[in-house]
Amino acid sequence: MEKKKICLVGAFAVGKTSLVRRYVSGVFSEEYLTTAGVKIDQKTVELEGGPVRLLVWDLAGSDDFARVEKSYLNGSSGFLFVANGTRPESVDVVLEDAARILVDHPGAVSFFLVNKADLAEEWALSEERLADLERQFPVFRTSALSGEGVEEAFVELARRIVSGEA
Amino acid sequence: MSGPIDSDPVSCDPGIVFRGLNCAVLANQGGGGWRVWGEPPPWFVGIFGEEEAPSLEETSPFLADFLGREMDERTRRSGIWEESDTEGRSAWLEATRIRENGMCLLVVEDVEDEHDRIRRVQQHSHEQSLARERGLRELEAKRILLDCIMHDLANPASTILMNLQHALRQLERGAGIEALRHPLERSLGQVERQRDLIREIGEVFSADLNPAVAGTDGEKWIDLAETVREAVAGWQTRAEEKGVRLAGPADEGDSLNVAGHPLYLARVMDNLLGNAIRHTPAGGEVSVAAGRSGTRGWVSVIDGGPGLDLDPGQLFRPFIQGSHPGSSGLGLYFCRMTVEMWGGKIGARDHADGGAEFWFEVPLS
Repeated sequence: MEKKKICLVGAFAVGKTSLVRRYVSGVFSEEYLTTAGVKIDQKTVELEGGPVRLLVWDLAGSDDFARVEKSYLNGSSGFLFVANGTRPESVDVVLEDAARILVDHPGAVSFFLVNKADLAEEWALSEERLADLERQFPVFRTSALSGEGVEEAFVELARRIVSGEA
Repeated sequence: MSGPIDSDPVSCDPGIVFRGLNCAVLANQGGGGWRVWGEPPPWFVGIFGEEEAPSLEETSPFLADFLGREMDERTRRSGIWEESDTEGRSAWLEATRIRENGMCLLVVEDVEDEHDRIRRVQQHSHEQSLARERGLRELEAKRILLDCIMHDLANPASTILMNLQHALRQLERGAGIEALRHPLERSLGQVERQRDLIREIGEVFSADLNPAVAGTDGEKWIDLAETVREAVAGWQTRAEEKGVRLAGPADEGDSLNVAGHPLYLARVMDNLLGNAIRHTPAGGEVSVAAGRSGTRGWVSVIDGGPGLDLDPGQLFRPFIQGSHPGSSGLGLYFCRMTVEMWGGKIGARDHADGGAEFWFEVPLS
């Protein structure tokens, strides 16, 4: 079966691990446990052209002291850049990471996930900011808590990787 | 202190050293295969199996990635990653590739303690950063709130001043008492607006900053349905004056007991009904319903207006007035603070048959 590596990138505490757990295992926990190191989960996606095995790399979030380790991104076919809608700072952080990463991976399929859609009324992103993101990436509003947009983002990423769509 | 060495360390089996270090060492055999050197630790066997030449890349996508990279330097560390053994137990590992004298070795270590230490430090640092971000956001929100309050209190004051100056000029010109009516009425209207605003700010801040006031102090059993019926009855006169039909829930019905503060619940209903009547043109209808959904009681107020002109999420923030003047912009914020204080939710949406629907739900007791 064809395997495709995808990486979740973003600031700390935006919900990357929760999104992976929601997508792979269908579970959610309110507890915040920071990710140290790398965790790889696998899930098979059924696409029109046949099944594809997604290798989902959950990387430690960027903070003031460390950004994403570039060597972990080698061979990645797609990226999910994740921000927390209630924390505008997290958008700035992941956009900086995305700019650096996409220089090295110009052909990779990239989506932007604005997570915590269940707290949409507390989002601190203006419509202009969201529109600006939508000009740069396909944007998905996701909630690891409710599951909103999660499956759709992963499956669409897999579909575009396989079909070669940008 | 360790005991005396009773054998020649130079001739010692390296496997003893590897066991002592709790690591597995593998030598590259060429052709991409790796062979275990000595006896590997149990955790390694649990993950990669007992074979002398385990298929590392098959078992671990992380190692496949790490071993697949070109290597120019003499040693390279992989960083920490998580693996699961055949029974689902997870382990935190780190690998080191060593190239020396034509040999290529791979050392795999169980670094759970190191991982836990790093994670604890990062967790603490991230929680501190999150608290700082929250503090800065709250400070900014308070500053905006203060600016809005100053602005909304200053505007009526300017209007009052202008009208009183105008009245004084009229008196100086010898105008009759009747000439003072309009400036005094306008001043009175602005004073009432200021008074309402000050009252609402007081209520909002007592709910916002002192949850006990709206939460448990003075909390009683309230019949939600009865409170809704009373509020609808209280607004009938105002609705009739405007030519709006106000339809409330049926008189007979299940009681919906909730624990809350009666005055605050009445104020929530007053805000929703006042807004609905204000947004509904003469000849239109405001429809109010209440009911039970599982363990929660709900209330719905549907107006006959043009629908929402703002994002529903924004409506419940302070000083949001939409396109309709005449309110302080604090009413819905107060409703949200109160309902959420009781473990409930509040929201708004465009109604399918036109108009806007405001709803809230609270846990039943």
